[in-house]
Amino acid sequence: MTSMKKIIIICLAAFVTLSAMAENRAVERTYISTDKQVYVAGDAVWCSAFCWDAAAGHLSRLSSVVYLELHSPDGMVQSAKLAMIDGRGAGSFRLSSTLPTGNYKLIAYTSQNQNELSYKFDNVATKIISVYNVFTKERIKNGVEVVSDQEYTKQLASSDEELSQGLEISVKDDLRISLLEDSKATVSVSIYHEDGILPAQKPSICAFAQSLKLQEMPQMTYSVLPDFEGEVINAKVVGLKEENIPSVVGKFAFIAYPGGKSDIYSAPINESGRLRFITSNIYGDKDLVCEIEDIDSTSAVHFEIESPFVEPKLSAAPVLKMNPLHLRPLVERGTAMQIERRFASDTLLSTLEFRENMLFDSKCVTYNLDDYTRFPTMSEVIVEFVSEIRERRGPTGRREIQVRNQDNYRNHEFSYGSALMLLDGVPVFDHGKMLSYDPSLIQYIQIYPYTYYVGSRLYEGVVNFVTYKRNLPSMKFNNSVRIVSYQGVSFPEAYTCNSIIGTDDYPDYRQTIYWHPMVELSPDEQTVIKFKTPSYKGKFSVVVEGLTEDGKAVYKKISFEK
Amino acid sequence: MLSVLPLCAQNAEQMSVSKMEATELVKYLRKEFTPAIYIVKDTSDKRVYTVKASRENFLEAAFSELQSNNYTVTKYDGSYFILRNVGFSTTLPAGYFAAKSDDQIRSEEYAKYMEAQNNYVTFQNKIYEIGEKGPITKQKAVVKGFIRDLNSGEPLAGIAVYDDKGRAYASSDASGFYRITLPTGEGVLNFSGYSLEDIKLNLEVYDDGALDVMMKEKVFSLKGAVITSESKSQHKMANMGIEKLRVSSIKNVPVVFGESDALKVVLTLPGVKSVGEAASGFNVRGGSTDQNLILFNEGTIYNPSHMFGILSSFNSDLISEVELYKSSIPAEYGGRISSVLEVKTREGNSKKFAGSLGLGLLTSKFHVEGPIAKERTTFILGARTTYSNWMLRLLPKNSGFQGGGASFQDVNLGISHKVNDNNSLHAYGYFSRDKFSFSNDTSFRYNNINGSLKWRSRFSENHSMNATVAFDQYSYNVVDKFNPAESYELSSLIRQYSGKLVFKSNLSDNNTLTYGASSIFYDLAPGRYSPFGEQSLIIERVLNKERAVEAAVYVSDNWRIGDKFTLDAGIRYSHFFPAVPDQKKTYGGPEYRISGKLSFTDNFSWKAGFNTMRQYIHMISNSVNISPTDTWKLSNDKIKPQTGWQAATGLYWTFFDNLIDLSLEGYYKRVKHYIDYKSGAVLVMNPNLADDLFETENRSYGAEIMIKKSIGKLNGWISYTYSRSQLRQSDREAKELVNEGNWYNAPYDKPHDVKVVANYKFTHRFSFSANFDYSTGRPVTLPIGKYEYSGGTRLVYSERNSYRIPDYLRLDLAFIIEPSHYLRQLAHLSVTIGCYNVTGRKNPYSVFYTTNSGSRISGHMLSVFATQIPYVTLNLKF
Repeated sequence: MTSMKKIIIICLAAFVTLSAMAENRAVERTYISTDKQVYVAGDAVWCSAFCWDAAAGHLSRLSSVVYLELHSPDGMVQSAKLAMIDGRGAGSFRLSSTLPTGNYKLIAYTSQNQNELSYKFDNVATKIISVYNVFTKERIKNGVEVVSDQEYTKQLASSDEELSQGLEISVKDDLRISLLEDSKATVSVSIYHEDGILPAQKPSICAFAQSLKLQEMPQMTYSVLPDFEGEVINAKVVGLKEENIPSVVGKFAFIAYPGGKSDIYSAPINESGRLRFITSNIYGDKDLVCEIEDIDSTSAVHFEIESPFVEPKLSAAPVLKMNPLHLRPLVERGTAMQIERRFASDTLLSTLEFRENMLFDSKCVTYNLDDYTRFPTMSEVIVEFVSEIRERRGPTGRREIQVRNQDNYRNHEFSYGSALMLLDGVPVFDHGKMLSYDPSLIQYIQIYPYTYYVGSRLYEGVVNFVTYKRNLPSMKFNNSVRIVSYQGVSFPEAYTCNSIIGTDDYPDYRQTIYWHPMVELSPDEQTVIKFKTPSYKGKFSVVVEGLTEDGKAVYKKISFEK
Repeated sequence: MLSVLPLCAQNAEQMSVSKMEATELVKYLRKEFTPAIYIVKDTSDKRVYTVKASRENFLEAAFSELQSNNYTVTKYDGSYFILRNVGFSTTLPAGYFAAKSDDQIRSEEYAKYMEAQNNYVTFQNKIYEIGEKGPITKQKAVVKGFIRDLNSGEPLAGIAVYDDKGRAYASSDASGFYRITLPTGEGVLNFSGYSLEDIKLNLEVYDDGALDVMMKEKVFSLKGAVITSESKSQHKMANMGIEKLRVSSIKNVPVVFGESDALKVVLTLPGVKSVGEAASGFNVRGGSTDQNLILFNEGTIYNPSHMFGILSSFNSDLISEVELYKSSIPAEYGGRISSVLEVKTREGNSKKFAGSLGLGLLTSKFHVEGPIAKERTTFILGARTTYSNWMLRLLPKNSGFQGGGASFQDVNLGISHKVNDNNSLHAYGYFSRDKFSFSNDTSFRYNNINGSLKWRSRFSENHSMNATVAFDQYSYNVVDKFNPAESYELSSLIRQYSGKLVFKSNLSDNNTLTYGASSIFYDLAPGRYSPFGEQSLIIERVLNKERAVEAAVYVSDNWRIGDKFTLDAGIRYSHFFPAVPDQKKTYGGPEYRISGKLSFTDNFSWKAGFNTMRQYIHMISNSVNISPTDTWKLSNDKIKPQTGWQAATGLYWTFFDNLIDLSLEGYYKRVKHYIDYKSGAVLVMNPNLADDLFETENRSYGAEIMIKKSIGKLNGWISYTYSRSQLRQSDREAKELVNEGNWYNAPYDKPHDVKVVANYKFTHRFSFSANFDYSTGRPVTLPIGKYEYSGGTRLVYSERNSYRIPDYLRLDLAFIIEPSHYLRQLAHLSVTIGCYNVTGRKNPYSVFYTTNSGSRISGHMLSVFATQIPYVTLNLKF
């Protein structure tokens, strides 16, 4: 039954993917809302993504990843990926503390955008992010202008004209938001310290909403597979001469990461030596283990993951206008950033719901090795008390680990050459390596005695050996295995700071004091948000922006003193 | 751990904290002072801080204490921020708002405030990017970093760092730091160090950068590691003829009735023999049974057997190790000629209560152990009792043993107390009580009582001491009430009080000096013969008490000369002073203990040794093994101490990947003044016993070969011994010369001897054991003719011990089921099913002759276990 279910799910997923490709001619436009527009190098940039299908007239249901690029005039300096569900995504990235002072451009796009023949990466939704590096004097070349006090005051006065559309907000002890539109809206909410450093850009959500009305359908090519289930990871085989590529065609390649539960993806190598892993999104920065199954242990053939970032050439962002009056605010921001990074402020986050791969959702038999006598070799452990698996010679004549399969038709039959061994969630195809692994490093052995499909590869039973630190200690893989740093999609997080209780252990100098990337507003309801102001006094701004169900922008900014 | 002592002085309030962790200290400061103070906990900071200052200076003093350990203290907005190893910037760089900035220079200033983003090696197959990713501008780049140990975090020095094509090479310094210049682009960097696992890293070098590496100790196959250490010590020590038994091997050897028994396992070692089944005494290299010093937690055991020798005194649940010295006897031991058997019990579980319960065919036993005071004081208590009376009842009615019974109890107690890291106290107590009777009329009892107190002390890293005081008592008692008028009680008692001091001093890494002194006060009541019951007409007789002091001093030195040669030389001087008025003679003399080892390779060595021994207490027995009624006698004016020497040599070879140990030892041994009794001697209650004895000398020689495999599915040993032991009357002028003054076989002379102990582990739970024993029959004196004299038939006996009983052969098998590996179970059951004497061979124990109906002489052969004896034992551990 379980295996049937799995097959159905896999087939269904494949069908939906194809249908999504063939029928949905989504024209996606993405807007990124950030917690603020002025940062110091080292700050986290909190993002909320709105991805609209301009062809269909609603939030896009196609792409589940949005790619973010931060550009200096020299090109991309940082990147991020946000996972999206039904056109909405959230996440954050941290500005490197080595970024020179200046204005940067933040662009966002989906892989579907790459199918548009004349897609403009630098568009109305491009955000200008001002970054001050408080540690060094380094500036973007010709990117900073020190302006006089006079000019700055003039700027300040002109920035007072506030834009407001579709929202009414008020602040007392809490924040109350009312939607003035007829249809529901989804917004991001930010509250931050208003210290007088001006953003380089006016709010652009209204301009973005305007751009959603297409004049004509853009020309599409469909050469890029959209990230429907999750990110599609493209890779190509290297370490092999062109003419030898046929020798690996059809072999299965795998990606997985240590500590992952079910995040194992496989793909066959095609004629041109290319691979395409359809993932259901890998969250966070991971060390991705890239393996090719059934390959000579001495072979240096491996595959490289290709960057999904387009890195288009962009025009330079406007010059950053700096004024000595910024001294105090910058010191405050710099201090707050350092405090936040030193004093473990990740306890202030709350992770929002996200989609997980449910490959191994079925029950497994778990052995906690600490509950048993310890034996010096893995073979002994298996022989002595793990009765669901055994060590035998497999079809190739090599020692392998076999799993007693408990499917209905073949009750209590051991797998033969077809069980998948995982170490901390990473496939180990050479079972000999697992048999000679030091069992004192292992905390759990989890046995899944059912049939599984990983991609299109079938396994009769999976055994996951879990080490204490989940980091493959002292595992030596074959030459063809490569481990690469991989930037996964950002965890969707809100910076609600609900857990600040007293200030004994945490010095509360927060600059962004509240951020929620996804708040749903209804026309007749007032939304109440609780927040905490920091320990210092000052002026704070509230910015709520987003889109209604029918594609109208909503925006409101107010300030209050505390 | 932490204490806060605000001391009020007259003027300024003095404050002091002692031994506080950094976070505790900050918490305290926060409580005592107004400004807010924040600290980031650094788990790697294990230091504790002590601050003492007046209140006004206290904050500053505390900060400077923290700063001395790499903390930075930054004041901002009236609060203090305390961080470790990184700074905290509260200003902007000078000239920040200058109209023109020298913005082309890449400043590294941020690194002071932000952790350097070092690559940190976690996986080998990972591609590490060195320098900022981007276009490569240089030909070469410098990679530097620290190499540390994965487990301890200690820096590793002398690690070779080289790139794959051998173009660059560097090695790490004492702080684990390395620096190597590599060509930019893709490359492979290798790290290798002695006994560490090699690391091979794929690099993508863009620019100069850092790469920290953790290296891990090489894990040799864990199976191999145990053997290596075990057989390595064989090749490192100069001493020879030492047999160590681990508890696991004791438990695996099948024994009669399935009662695992340390002494029975000792009998399976080469060079150790017993005169027959169910004989508890043992003979080492042609020595007699009383020539073995049996030490149980420093207490001397005179009779190590229960139930006619079927079981030994040692409860195997409590034993930690058994060591038998049959050739090189360390200088700290003395007083016996042949060997020293040291049995030690465990100290008890220091963490939790545990115990076991065992049910066997003959005995039931239990033990508990655990902490009394956590991690400091532990105890271990064990007790055994028997219910074997049923067995004697199975004996046939006409055997003459109806109404008999046998039982014993023994109790062990050990208490260990750790005074501090360098001193510990250990107290041991042992009590055993045996009782048996072959009929309703005669009963035998004997008791062992031992108590000892030991103080272990380490004065310094190189100097330690063991001080022991002990009390031992052995007594027996025979009651015969067959005829009320002649009912008697016969008893005897040995007491000894002893003290021993051993100092060990490491003069250098290669030289260890052991020295000390010991003294024993013997107090023997050799015999008391008294009436039993009111009707008895027996007149009480008491033999004179025997008392004496044996004192000794000794020094020995173990010296490793180079890698190949080790010398162990010691001298012990012992002296014997009688402490009774009528005995005048004192005896004394030096004893030499010399052994040396020459290693040809790590796995092949040659040893030789020579030692001399003296013995002042003797067992006079008309049986060949230890029996409860044996008479022990101190040396006196007429009985000289036994002296002896042994020269031995051996070859030791470990091969097949350190799996198999082969040893070949040969010895030649002479003993003088060994006591034998004259024909027709009265041994019990004889005040002039010395007159019925004669002195003999003993010569023994032999060769022992043993192949041993300690680890693996199949383990065990095979040994073959060829040995001879012969006696000759010393006084050649005596009237009656035994065997005309020529050499004759000692009663325990068994030239050929093959022993096999094998254990096959199917898994760690199920194993199969076999024990095979073959030896030549022991010598006996047989009647070879008869003659009529004054109307009766008399026998003519052969020369002493010139015949042999048939050879001895026995095979025992056992199947052992160890408890489940699941540790969370409340109790663990182990089961042993086995069979003793599988072939059912009627091995003769002795041969005797009876005269039937006046003239017919018929020979009889006595076998102890003349049939298969199957058994099942259950052991419950909790």
